[in-house]
Amino acid sequence: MQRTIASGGAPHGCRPAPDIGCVDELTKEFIAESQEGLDRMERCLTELEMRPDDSGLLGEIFRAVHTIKGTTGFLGFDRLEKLAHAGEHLLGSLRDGRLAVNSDLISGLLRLMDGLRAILVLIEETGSEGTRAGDEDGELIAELAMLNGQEPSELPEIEAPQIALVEGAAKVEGAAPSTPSGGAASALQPTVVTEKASADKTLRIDVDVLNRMMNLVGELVLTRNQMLQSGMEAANFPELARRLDSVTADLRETVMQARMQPVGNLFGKFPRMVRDLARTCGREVRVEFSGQETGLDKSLLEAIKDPLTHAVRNAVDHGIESPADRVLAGKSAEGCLRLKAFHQSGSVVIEIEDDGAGIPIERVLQKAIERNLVTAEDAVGMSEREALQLIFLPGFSTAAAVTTVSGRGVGMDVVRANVEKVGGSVEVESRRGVGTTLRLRVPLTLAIVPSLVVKSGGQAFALPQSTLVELVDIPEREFAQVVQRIGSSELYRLRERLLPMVWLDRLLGLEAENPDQSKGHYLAVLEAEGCRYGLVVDDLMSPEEIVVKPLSPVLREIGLFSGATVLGNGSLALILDIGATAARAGVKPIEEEIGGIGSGEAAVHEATGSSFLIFEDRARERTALPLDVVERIESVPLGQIEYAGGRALLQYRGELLPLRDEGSVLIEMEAARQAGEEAMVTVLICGDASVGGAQRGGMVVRRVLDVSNGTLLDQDEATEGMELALVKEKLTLVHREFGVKAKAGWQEVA
Amino acid sequence: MKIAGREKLDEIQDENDAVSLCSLYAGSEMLGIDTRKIREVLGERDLQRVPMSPVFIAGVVPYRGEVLTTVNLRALLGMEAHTGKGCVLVMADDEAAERFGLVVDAVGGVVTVSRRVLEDNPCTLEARGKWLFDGAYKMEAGLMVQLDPQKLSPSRLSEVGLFKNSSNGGTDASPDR
Repeated sequence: MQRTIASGGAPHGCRPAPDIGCVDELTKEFIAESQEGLDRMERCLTELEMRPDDSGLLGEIFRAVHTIKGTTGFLGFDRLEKLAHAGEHLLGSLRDGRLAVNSDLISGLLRLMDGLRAILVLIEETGSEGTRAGDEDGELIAELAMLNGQEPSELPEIEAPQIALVEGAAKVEGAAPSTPSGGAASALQPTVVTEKASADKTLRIDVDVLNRMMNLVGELVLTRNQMLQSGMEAANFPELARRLDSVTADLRETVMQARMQPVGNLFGKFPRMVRDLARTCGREVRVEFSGQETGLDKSLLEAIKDPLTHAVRNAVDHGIESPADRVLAGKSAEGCLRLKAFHQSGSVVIEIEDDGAGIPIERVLQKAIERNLVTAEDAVGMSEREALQLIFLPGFSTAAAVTTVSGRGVGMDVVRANVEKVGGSVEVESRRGVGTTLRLRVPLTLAIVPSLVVKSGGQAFALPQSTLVELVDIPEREFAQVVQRIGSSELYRLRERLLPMVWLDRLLGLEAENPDQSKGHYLAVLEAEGCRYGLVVDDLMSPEEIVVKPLSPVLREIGLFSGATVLGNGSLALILDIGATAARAGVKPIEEEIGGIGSGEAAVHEATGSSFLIFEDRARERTALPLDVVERIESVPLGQIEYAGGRALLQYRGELLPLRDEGSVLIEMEAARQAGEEAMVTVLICGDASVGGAQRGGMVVRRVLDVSNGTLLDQDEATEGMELALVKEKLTLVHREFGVKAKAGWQEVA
Repeated sequence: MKIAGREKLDEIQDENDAVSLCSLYAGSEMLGIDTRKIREVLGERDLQRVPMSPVFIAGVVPYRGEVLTTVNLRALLGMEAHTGKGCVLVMADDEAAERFGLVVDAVGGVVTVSRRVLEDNPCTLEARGKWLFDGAYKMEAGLMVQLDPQKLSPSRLSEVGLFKNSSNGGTDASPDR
């Protein structure tokens, strides 16, 4: 007993810790805390540069350094203490208003932070802080003292001896050979990497979340026990199965929640990086953030860290012009870089927007020809959108000169590859002289993907919902009419646009096991990597939320499948890689701007602003909704619709949707059900995607008729305040309740 | 269980000398794999074919929350492969940490034999056989050819390139797709 106390107490006591081989718990905790403090400090420092008078920020920075200093003294890390002390001293002067914030000072403080970080990493790795003489930090301490001592006349007397002392140390350092300080500088690079590595492995979780998880696991065990005891035949088996279902769903959600991290954690690194970059490149850049609180799965956050960093570098180096050029172009000297994160239809979108010069199309084409990425003839015929896609090709870089920042051949192709590896997509929009927007779209989570299971050649395949634009049923008798041929390739005419058709069974070399030709085919309209095509499959099975399992390397090599999954019936289905399938089938990215998934807001209005989904709610009346507010059309059993306070509600994917029932369809259905008929209600899930689906709602309709283009009629006396449109030459009432933005869009159409 | 005769068994006193093999069948051939290299015998399973995969891949099966890639022994031996079903053995490949399944017609039992009855591959064996087989045990009933699971892993097989297409070496294996 006594021995344990003795051995446990030693490292915590006044004996200096450097001699111990490994890192004890207390030190670990200290390192984690300090690193968090330094992260905070980093954020505050860059903000401080913009708002030098903010005493709150300064206080926060001071606290971070002060805490480190205080704890190191207790733990016996002399070197760390000395450096932290020098920093605290400088910050003290700053806080008392004896010094003014300028960029040299901020740079000095950032270097202080780097120095502290380096020592922390050293402690974490080796358990000691390196040379106890602390001479490696001499230069830094001297610099901090210099910064502090620049206005010595304003300093009170008491401070003077201390400064002299530190300066004295600096002189000694100056006399010493310069190798140690050089070593300190070079040591910074690798340490940053290792710090990342250790941060990746740990995750902070709310204790409440953890407790909830434990409760749910307990519940799971209890349910299992009950199931084992009662057996399949028991009367309460369905109830147990239902309980298991709900516990599983809750547990999954809780685990997901625990894995969710705010995007702000990632953004936090950027102000500093942009600041340093801007200085190297001679730019003036302001960084703005929005949506830092948007949650994203931890593993995804890690996966997009590098692409995002690269994109930010690009924006500063290539995007934003030098201050002189900006002034010439009539813009403010300071460029603006905006990082935005938000949810959009089941995925997280991260936008990197700069107000720079935009991407020069002719330079892109010229470069692409130079590097033999396209032929000169091809380049002539290229549309702007196609040309912009070239920047994603391997080996492409428009940087005029190779700088330390960019132009080293690692380019947008890597960004795209990394994002697509996690099931996301990258888009770029650029306007000459106005700026460039790069949009990374990533799924909320990697593990579970909503997808549609289809059948082809007797085998099941899963198509990720994110790539699915729409489904078209082609009955056999209409097949010959709607399918058109150019040479050997088949095309489907979808709303006056020709869509290349890809037969899944032929592509995969499966025998067509569909003797029942009368059933016809289904066309899944898919879009990935700028390619849009129709995949012909034999049958549609259920939409399922599938759990993605990786394939072995040999099967990954085929390049057409991104994984496999176990379906509800216990069989396996392969998950089709939509982009790779397109490439295999020879589908090229489309030229025109299409207002489908992922195009800019403006484009959505342009292309589909006048497209309507036409349905019937009141008898004999045609009603329409703009297509872009309708997210899905669901068929729901009447029993699933619940009522609260006289309002009909639907539980839909963990959300409570208020239902609008203008035509009293529900009442009629209820009557039909009492008459013994099986009742399925058609519900349009509506929402304004651009506001993150916050204003979602459902609309109960009798039946869905069509999707078509139409024109809104001008309002006059005859319309009596109703929004009417002519769709296919028939009068149609248009709903206008979903979203203010949608309304604005309609006005444009009108 | 033990096919080797009693008198043989008496000879195998030395622990180091004894090897326990799991016998399995592909067509009429009996082959053996060291039991220490087998993780689990799954028995008859439905196999999900993977289109465009190499001929020696029988398909995938779910196994303990993973998707297990399986190798078709019949295809490797140049026999006509029947698809859809098969007896699956799970192999643990320690070196590459890659698990894979081996699809055979049937699994026999565990046989304990002496290492002394192991004979090396004959020099007249064609290249594929040399890769697959690891000698043969002279048993009472005939020869039991030993397989080396390390060499049967899908990634190794695709590296070797011997089994890329089926019409090599004059065998009449048909592609399993």
